[in-house]
Amino acid sequence: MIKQYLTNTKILSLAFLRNKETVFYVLVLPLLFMLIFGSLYSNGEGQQQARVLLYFEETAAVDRTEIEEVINANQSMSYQHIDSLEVGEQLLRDYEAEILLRVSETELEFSFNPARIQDNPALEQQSRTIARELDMRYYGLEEYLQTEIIDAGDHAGTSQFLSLFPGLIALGLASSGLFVIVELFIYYREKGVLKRMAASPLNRNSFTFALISSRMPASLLSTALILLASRFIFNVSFTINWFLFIPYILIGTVIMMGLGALITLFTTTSDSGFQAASILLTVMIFFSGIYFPIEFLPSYFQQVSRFLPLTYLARGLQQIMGVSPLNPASLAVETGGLFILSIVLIYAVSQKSSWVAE
Amino acid sequence: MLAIKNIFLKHLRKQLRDRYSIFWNLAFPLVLLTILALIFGGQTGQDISFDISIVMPETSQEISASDFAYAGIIDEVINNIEGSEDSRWFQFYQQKSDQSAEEFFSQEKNLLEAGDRHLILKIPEGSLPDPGLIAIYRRPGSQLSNIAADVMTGIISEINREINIAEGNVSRDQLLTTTSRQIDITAANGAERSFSVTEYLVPGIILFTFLISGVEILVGRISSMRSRGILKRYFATPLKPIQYFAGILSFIIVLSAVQVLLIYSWSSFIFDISLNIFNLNFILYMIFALIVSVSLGFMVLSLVKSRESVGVVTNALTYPMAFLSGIFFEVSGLTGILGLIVALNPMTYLVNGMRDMLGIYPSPTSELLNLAVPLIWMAGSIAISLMKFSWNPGSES
Repeated sequence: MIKQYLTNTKILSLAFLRNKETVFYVLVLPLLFMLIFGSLYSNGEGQQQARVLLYFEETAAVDRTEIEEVINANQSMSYQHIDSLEVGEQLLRDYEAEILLRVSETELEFSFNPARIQDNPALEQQSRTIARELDMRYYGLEEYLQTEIIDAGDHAGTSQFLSLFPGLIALGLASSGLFVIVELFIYYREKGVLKRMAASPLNRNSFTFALISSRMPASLLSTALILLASRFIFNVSFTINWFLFIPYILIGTVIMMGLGALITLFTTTSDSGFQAASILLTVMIFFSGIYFPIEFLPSYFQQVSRFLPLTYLARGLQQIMGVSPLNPASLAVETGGLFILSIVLIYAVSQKSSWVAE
Repeated sequence: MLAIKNIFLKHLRKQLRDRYSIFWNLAFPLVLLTILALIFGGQTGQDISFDISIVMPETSQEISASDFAYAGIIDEVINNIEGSEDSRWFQFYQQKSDQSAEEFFSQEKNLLEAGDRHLILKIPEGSLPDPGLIAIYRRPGSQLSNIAADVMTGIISEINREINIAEGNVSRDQLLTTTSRQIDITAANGAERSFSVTEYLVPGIILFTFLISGVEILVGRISSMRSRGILKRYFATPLKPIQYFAGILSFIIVLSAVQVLLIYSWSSFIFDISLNIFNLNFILYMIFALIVSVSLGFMVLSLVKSRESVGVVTNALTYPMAFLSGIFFEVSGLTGILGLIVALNPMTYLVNGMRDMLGIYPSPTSELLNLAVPLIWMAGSIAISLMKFSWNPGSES
């Protein structure tokens, strides 16, 4: 039986990796998303200088040099003088600058481009820094109350950018595991593969375990690629708890297989099974908070994330990779619960399914 | 003509019979528009409230603002906020009388890390004129927590100004007022209007459906029939390839028209926005965009013969083209290879042109480029298709 299992695992692993479409979804797609979203979110991490346009009215109350010095003192900003507000607004519209500062006799007016949806909160913060510094320097105001921003949990780097990478690994696991059970119990049955297997001396459980195991190399490979790419492309490294990480990758793949088993219980054809899995994967991408912050969604949409395994996988990976504080109790409960439920579902489907084409 | 009609009806029936195709091609664009509008558009802004814990020093219980203690000053600011209409933005939590500051801080820090608080403010002991340091604890992975930290920093700056005025360091008249605004968007007709994220997304979603229709649906159907030898059998009958092409193209055009109408109706009824998508220039530009997508699809079919590879190539083409064009969100900040892809991507120019024509956002690229770059892609794709495309590559039939 062991020999059967090992032989089948090897054959199925190679067959899986030879399939261009699955290789694309499991290995290439997460990398593609990492490049796209990693580049977008890393811009918000202050890697690019904010270009400030300075327009001084004739009656401006502040000297040009004062503001120039404030901006020069801040390495995340650069400035350029403009002759009219119209020119400044046009440069903002054309994405040639990020902030327009108009200095008048009584006012500092900061203008932003509303289409810079993801950048504007950081730009507004930078504008407030200019105003505050100017208060201190120009008027000699005392900063009686100073502020210090402290990131909770001593995980100073946690952000949408860093959270993206564990999320991408979770996506790789989802792509690797979600479709397996549909493939095994519906597609193989429709194609008559199971019927031929049933006629051979092959042990049914051995084949099921072999198919499940065959996805593990792909999950590990996908994970390794994301970690390597994050290191070499974005210069991001994680404090990974390897003792938990490797088992978690394997368990995570089984959890996604469990979700696939749930789909199998409610679908009868492989086409509808694969389509339902694709829809579920898309829903998870949007509502698990991997690519987009879900805090701005209405609360009833936010509740959807509580029912999605990808949310918990991404959260678990964030903890194990040192992106967020490790909470062993909740990690054990969430992962253990999902794992047991997945095993039960996979077992139920394997018992319920016929190996003979209907 | 009958042959074209039959091919058209065949594809239409297939579309209507398959509930998953209906979801992906008709419902999904609406779902995508809704989700992105909610995430980026702040449509639910009225529901957002910041949960902020205020940890006062132990000695603060009896102190009032008139004692010049920071705890008293902050307490008065909070009371003022709670008594104003700004109170709907904040929910403040303070320690109970029988609770120590450390105990309360520890409890609230756990809640912050668990996502049940957006911010903790730890108020210092001491009083004016000695400086005090307010520790602002935030959860950096949470956008709302970051925004709450920004808002509180702004409020504390204002408090500092007021203290300086009260201390006589500066007069109110001397100080410059700090304001911020978002620029108006000048429409194609010269009128200025405010920016709407949902309006900004609508042309992007329309273009996305065209891209899917041309590069995924058309390519998927033809490659499937080609690899199974169905086209070979079709063309053994009096049906000519040009008739098949006209039939499937008619289906893609009708499908795209239905998608545009659905997106328009959805954005009108759900988001209450009105766009003049029925003007002739915009209709012609949409047809141009659809032709570009279809020609890209034929280029893929010309260069990639096997059905399995076609699926991979179309996905590998669709995702970067959609995400690296500004269809969903602005991508002008990208540099390096990704910036180059944005600059070469025909979808970048098509979406810029569509937004400009609808008066949603003035195109950052010139009108000439908005026509020329997609036109070059279209001409190149057609040229490659004329040289390489085959309805029946033969190898797989």
